[in-house]
Amino acid sequence: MSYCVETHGLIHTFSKQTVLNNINLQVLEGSIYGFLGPNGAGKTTTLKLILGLLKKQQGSITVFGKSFGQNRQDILKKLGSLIESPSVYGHLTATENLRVLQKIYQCPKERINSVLKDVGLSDTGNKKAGQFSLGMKQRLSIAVALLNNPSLLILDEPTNGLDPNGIIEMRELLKKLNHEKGVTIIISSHLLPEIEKLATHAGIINNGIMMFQGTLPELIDKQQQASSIMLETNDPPKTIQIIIANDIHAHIENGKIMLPVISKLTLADINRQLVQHDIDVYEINTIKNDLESIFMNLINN
Amino acid sequence: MELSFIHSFQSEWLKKKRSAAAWLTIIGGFFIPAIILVNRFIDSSLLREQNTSNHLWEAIYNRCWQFMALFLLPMGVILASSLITQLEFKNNTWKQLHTTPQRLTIIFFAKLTVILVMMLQFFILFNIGIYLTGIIPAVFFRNVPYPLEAFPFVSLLKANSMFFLDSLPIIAIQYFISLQFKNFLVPVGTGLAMYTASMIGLSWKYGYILPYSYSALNLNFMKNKGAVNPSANIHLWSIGYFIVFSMLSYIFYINKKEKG
Repeated sequence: MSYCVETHGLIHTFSKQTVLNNINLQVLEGSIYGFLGPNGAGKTTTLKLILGLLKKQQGSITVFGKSFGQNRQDILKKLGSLIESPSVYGHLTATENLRVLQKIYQCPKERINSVLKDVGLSDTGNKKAGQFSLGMKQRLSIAVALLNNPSLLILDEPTNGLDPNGIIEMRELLKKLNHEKGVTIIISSHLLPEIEKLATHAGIINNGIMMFQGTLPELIDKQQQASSIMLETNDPPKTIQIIIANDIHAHIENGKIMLPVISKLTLADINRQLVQHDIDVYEINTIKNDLESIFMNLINN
Repeated sequence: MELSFIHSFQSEWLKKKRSAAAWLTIIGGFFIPAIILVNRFIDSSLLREQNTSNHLWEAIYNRCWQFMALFLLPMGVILASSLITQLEFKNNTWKQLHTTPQRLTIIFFAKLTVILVMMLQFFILFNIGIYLTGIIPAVFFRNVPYPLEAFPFVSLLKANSMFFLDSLPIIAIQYFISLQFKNFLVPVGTGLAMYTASMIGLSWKYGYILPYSYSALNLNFMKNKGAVNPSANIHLWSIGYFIVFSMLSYIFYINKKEKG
């Protein structure tokens, strides 16, 4: 397996505060790597270090198998990026913004119309980018990232400001780039559903520490583990006794009984036992935990 | 290296299209000649005599440069130099620029070159303005002939070159400050403070060490009138300041911890 991006022991501090602690990122070539974490977890700092926007303090970074420090230009030639908020020149049109970059990349001029079409901005004409909505600016930034036909795309929260339709279109575009052109994509987000629908691999970071790294099925498995079942009955203490008697750990939370995810058969069996013991069952519900809960679960583990 | 510098320069040049810096260059270039022209129209009775004189160009040139060198040129340079870097801060594009496959050295010098070429553009427009100030009255007044004296191209080129040289320290210092600070007020405020200090320093014997004073000191009447030691070679001081601050600026830029 060859890694497109690999970091070893990345440590970064801002005024004596450690914001990244021993980050070992491994992004497989041809994968879509969802980089998840709450705001302030260290996602942007990691991506900025990979792109050379921050001076590396400790650790190593290799991109396309080469050290970033020694091969900065070669690497950046094959890379497209969008970091945080949109980077566009407000006094220029969409085409002019891309012309500015086309001059540097020296890619064919036809690429400008092509990427504008890809992101749905081909009919903006003479409208200045400063008059664009946030979503349109974000699309233009993505067009900029795609201009040089990159082999690696690094996108930091690219769907910020996009409407639901825009998010779907963006997802389809990224999937297409990955499937048809084999572009490796690193996409950061704090929204798990967004990553679930797109990524093949995921990394979760919290407080500068890598909490999880693996394939998406492995992450979904973690999510499953972090999920729970909620039962509401007329007699919680007696319900707990019956559940524990079945060797299942359970506890009461706000008058409701919480137990880990169990098989459908076991759940049906427990329900039957409760009814047999004259307990009224009002509700049985599976609570799928959100990303934050998974973080908590991972941290607690 | 050379080719990538040209591409980088072209890219930087495109960026300033329709920007405040670009408008400042055009408006600033024609501003003083336009005022002098209006003044000539107001005193229209003198036009014939002026246009037949052998010193027409020298007279217009001196009047234009008097205002330009003392105030507008330093102010224009302060603003234009600061606005070029402000384009990146304002649009949040430093990170985009610094992830393009070009050496930081090239980015630094491409931007500096854009400022220098803009200055050159400004000087060209200013001199076109001077020329138009001389000939336009002849278009509107039948009794006013076109200037009899030929346009002294070579001597004006020489004189302009000196003013250009004398503006270099301001460019280098403003570029240095504006690369360091996101807030536009910092370079502009510092520039204004430096300019004021330099103007006050014109009455000081060692005023020639003040880097924002050279365009004023280059005016003939200032040289003779002021207290500044007239034997000091202000052009050499200009070049010295330009080299020192350009180098300083480059070192600070390259070693910046956060590049976007």
